[in-house]
Amino acid sequence: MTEPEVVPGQLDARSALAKGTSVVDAAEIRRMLGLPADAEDKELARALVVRVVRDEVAQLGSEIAQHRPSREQQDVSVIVAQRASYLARMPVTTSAGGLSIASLGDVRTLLAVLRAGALSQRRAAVSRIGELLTSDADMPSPFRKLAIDTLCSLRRIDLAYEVAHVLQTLSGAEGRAARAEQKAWQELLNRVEARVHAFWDEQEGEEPITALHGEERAHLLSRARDLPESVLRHIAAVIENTDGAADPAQQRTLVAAIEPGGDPRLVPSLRSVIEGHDAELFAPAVRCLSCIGDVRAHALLKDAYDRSARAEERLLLAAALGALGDARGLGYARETLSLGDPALIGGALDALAELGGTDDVQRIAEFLENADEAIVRSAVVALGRIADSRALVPLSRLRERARRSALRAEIEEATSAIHARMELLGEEPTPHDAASATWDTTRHAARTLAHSRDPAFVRARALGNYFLGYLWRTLGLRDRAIARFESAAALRPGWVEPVVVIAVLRGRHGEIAHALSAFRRALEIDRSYIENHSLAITAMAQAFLRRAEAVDREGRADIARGLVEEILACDLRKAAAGVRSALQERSDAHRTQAR
Amino acid sequence: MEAFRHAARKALRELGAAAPPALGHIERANFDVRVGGESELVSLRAGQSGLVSSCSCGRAGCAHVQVALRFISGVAEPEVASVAAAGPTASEFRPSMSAPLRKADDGARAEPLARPALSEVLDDLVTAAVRTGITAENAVSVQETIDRLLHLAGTPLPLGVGRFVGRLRYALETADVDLSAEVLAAASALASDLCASEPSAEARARVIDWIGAPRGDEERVGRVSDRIFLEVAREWVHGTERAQIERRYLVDLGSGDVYREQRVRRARGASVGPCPRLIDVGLAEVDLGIAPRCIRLLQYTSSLRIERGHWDSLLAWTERDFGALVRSYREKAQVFFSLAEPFALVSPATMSRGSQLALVDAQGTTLLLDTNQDPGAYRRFEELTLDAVPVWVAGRLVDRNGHLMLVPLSTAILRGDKLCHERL
Repeated sequence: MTEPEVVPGQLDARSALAKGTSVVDAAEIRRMLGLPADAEDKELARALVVRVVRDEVAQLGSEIAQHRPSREQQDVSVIVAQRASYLARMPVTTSAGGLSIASLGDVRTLLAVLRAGALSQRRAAVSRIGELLTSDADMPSPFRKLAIDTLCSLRRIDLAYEVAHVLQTLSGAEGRAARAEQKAWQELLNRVEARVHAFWDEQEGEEPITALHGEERAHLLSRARDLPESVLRHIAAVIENTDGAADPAQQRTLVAAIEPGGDPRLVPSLRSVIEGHDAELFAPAVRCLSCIGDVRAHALLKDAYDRSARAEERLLLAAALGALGDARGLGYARETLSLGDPALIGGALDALAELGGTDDVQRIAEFLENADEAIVRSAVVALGRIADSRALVPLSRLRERARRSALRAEIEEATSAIHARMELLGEEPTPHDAASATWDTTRHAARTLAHSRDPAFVRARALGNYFLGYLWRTLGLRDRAIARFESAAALRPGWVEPVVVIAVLRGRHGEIAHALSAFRRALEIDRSYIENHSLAITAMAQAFLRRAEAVDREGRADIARGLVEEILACDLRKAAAGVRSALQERSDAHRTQAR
Repeated sequence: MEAFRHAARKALRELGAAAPPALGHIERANFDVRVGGESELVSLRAGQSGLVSSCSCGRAGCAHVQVALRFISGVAEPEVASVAAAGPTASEFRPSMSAPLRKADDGARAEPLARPALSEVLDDLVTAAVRTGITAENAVSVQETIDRLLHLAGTPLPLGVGRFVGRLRYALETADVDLSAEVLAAASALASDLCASEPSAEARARVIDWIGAPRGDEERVGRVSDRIFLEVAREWVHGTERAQIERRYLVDLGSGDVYREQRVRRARGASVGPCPRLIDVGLAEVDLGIAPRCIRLLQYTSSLRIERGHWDSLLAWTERDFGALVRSYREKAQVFFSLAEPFALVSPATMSRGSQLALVDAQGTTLLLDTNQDPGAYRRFEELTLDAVPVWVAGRLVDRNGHLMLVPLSTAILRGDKLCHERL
């Protein structure tokens, strides 16, 4: 292909290509490219594209190029879940000296994280407990026993790796049992590794890992992160369908089996599944990635979510992203749940388990009465993961009527998680009767809201409840007042004032732990209202300060520090100076102590 | 066959007068065998336990192997004109690594493509795209021309055509003027190449890369044998579907040559094995196209055992002069346009952590890491290299905004005295 002589011209070749020769001055382009005026369109097109390429390539590595900015980095930022919970944001580690799970020193706090935290937080909590058990000679023996008993009784396979490593370092019966299990695991690994090599040496035709019994396979892969490179590469080959032996069912079995293990070395193979959109493997691969704390996992899932059109897939991806702290799927999950498609409810509940907040508790709790047991179970799990105290009443009612022991076990797990979260947040459960009354009130209001077609009517009712609440308060009937304010808040979920009033009321009556819960709800609804309202922000700051002082006196320094850090993250400029100063002092004291 | 032997005896007599008799033994013999109009490659190797045979048709004990064995052993041909080939049983059909693989999915075709028609549609494509403009939305004429191209290219679609269409669609969807220009310039060049009566070496390479090379065409297909390869990187690139084409990058540890083995996702037609792996190649075919050249492994074994010595051998072939990379890239881009997707295995002296990570060679020339194609991989690489300069980084070279960049696919980091390979 010959290139026409270059003639300097006014028009830029690149912009001509961008806009198209049908809209720019074609004669000018021909002159610029050194073509005759009657040159055919085909010749013009060829010359133009070649010219653009040659201009671009000529600049490669040149001085001009050095000064041109390269394309901006794609945004892989995480949309952090909007929960007003410090726990939800507590990092696993931090280099800045702030509070993190790796720096917690109180075993009780860590055990609470173990019950209520996200997967990465729970894993970090297990590891930290292990560090304390081996390094903290001053740990009181009841705490030591509690920690060891808890670790031994943990049956979560997604924590099996960390738990095994901790128990192996202990002396005593638990340590011996763990080391014996490790030995058994190593023997299993040796057998499998030999078979893997035999497979690739063509001495065996059967894929060795899917040939194991399910329990052996789960045992082997629960510690995937300890597998040698050769076995990992073999697994990668099976996942990518390059082993030449496994069929789709075997591939699916393997991908499902590696899910709890969370090995980042398998991310590239899982990427091939996600991008190839293999129908059989997609769902287990997504769940696998959600268990792997790796930057690539998030980028992959985010990309897949943005491209996904199928509702089931979007919900699955939303849940996976939620597990990694990305809340972009929250709106979609909520919308899907409210539409009520039976085929999608389970997926929406699973997504809200990772994404949902206090606003979702009411709606999710309604599914505890669903005829489908699988949906009931999903709702229980979701409420446990959200771990909001308002779910305690509906869960306890479900437990009373639950017949299957498996469901009762799930309810107990969920309830335990809620209590653990409340402990970490310095909250306390409301007395059962009061909580029941509040729950029934809000439930009734929520049903009114759902069935009413007239927004003005609903607003009017909410306002009516609000004023009634003030009336009861004036008459000194505090519980009735709070019930009215709860009703107003339930009728108008985006209206923060009733919730603020509840919080202030509780605070003034010394129910500081309950006031914290209400202030957190208010922050979730309308943070800027609180921060710009002097009375509200001062009341909130006081509540957090007093609660921090109280838990500190109980020896729960980690929780106290968490409370102080949480309130200091708010804009306190409108709060009373005395409270601000006291909080800052406490924060400085905590940091000094931590060093 | 007797004619073949007769010719061999004659050639030996002619040699024998001029050269002293040579002593040695045959370890492997390769034959092109035609049975019933179909030509296959048969390889016979003397192993410790006897003769090991393999055929490119993938069937054990097939007619092609029988013909080759009869030739070697001097057994007379049977009276029937053809021998029914044994079909594969389920137990035979695991793609044995010591038996060549089926060729069905590598783009080899029974009928030749209609080159003049392809040339014309490529010209139409360039003309339509340039007329409409790259930033125009829903350019119907361009889409229709692409559809015509795909129809003409037929089934199975050559991987090169699929990749070409995938890149063009991506460039148009993202209004990437530079990439569009590269792809369209490649289309222009191919349009000329397909009709050239005496194509240049570059033209032949472009066409081979785009539509593949017919099996057995010695001008377009070369062979390599008895090599040790290390697969160092693997990626999935867009074809007519997203992430459709799997690409494996194999480095010949003896020569440093890099090859790419490609397959359409989930199709058979490529070797078995994970990445990384050590491959003992008995015989392979190489398309004499654009580097890294496409390779088909016909006789090989894959091993998961990669010793430190293999990694050290690889290190000897890494590029340490990034200025040379830029020059080489520029040359290839000016001749092959978007058809050239160079692979690089680089060893940096240091790293630079400005607004974008860069590898730096001993002369201070920087090579930026691409953040666009896989932001997750970029960030993972950033994490891995926080405290250490990588021993080497493997990836595909791209250019963006006047900068040469590396799309990182894998890297090796020294941890203590252990070299750790990581796919990104």
